[in-house]
Amino acid sequence: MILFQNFRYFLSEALHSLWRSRARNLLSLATITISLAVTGVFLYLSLNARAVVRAWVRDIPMIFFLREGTSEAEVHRLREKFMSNPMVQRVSYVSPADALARFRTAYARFADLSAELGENPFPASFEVKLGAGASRAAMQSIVDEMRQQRSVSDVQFDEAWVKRLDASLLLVDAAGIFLGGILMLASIFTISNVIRLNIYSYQEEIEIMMLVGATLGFIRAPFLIEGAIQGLFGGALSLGALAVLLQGFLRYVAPLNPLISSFVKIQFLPFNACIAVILGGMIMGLIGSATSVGKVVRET
Amino acid sequence: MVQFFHVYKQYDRDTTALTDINLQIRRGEFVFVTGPSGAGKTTLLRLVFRDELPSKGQILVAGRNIGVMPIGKLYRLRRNIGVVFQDFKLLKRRTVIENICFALQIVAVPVRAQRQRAFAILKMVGLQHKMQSHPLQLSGGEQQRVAIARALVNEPPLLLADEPTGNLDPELSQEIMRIFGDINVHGTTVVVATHNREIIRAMGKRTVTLDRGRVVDDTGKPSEAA
Repeated sequence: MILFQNFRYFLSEALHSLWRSRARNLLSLATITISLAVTGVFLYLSLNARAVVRAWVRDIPMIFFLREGTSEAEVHRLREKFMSNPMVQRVSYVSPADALARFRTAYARFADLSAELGENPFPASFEVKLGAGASRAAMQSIVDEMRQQRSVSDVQFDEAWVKRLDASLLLVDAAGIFLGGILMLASIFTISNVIRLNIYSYQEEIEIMMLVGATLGFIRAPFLIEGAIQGLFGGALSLGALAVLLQGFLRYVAPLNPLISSFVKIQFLPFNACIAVILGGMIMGLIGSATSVGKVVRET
Repeated sequence: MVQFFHVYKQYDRDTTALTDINLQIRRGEFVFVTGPSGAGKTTLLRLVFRDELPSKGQILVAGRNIGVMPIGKLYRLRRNIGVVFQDFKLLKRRTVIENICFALQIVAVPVRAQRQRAFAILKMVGLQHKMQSHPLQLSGGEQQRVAIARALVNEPPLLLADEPTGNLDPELSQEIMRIFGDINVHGTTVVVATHNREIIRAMGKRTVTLDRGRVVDDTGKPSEAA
């Protein structure tokens, strides 16, 4: 009951302070909004790039060539092994005869090759396709595991290409973290200074509160809530700005070039990322206000 | 209740507010601190609720050395001291009743009880009809009575009042002193800084006289055995 009573008081004081110093509070709100919107853009790019890479990874075929003379029982065992992996979506066995048939269809000019050689040069193989959510690490673990099988002679899998994709993802993430981090620090700095100015405008009241026995926590709480509210609204506004930006991009820019369209895999940030942006804003607001509240109230 | 041991307060090299103050105020005592302007009355009171720190010496309040109390724990001291400030120190953007309620709110008194107690104390100082006014809408005397009400509302064991009748007419001054006398009878230690000789004479209580920062007289002191 008392907690609720105090919270109501803190909240009304925080709202009063937000309204009283609305001009400078708008400045910090704008800073949070911009920094979180930029971070949101990078988050969108990163998540979208991950979705693109996942789709590519899914489409990259993995071919496991079998040694000559592999028994049917062994083929069955290997198929079962592939199927038991939850990342694997489809497994196809290609017998030497099937491989030759494919070759003849694909390269009609060399259709007589096997007759000339006197034997079928193509080994039996498994073609494996991974399902949604498969990563490079999952791919690599399947490859490593199958390489240890005695009946598997070779694996065809474009490892370098997948590695490059992974590296490019890291680059997007690093750019996002760097730029977003700098902007977030700037936001925290702005909130901290705005709250500090707000505290100075309440200096006389704070002094009286201390003299009549208010705890430091009681005096600080409204300012912390003020920072958190700024961060919360900044987070929500940044999502709004991001939505407008993305809608504009998807509606007017993406259709201009099919290549761009092919790279768009998600329409907006997923729900949990939206929550993370809003909570991130709130935490930034709290950190910003905490850095000045602790110092200034103590000095009063 | 309050003990001063060789207390000095110096603001800078040329300004000494208090010199070698040794004072003992017992629990339940009523003490006037008097002296001419600039004698150090206000400084002495401010040292008791640690609005200032002594330059030298030690001050004990309820047996605790307040000089070593960390700033984060000062509220424990101040919640046990009601202070009537010379400049009232009222929260200007709050109404009279909100000012009183604030002192109760910080000690977690439920809202309904806050209102009831604040109204009762305002009635006692004759300001119940002004409870929705803001401090700046009140006269100096009325603001002083609000400050008195706020200091008393928590029924503190120690009450410090700095010139509490400075802005009041003689009739109201007597009424305020009667209130202070009543709470003193109920066990509250009262220390009043004033240069109003008439009130001191009328009350007939212990009087500590300061002059240029030194205690020059201490009359009506209870005997050690008492």
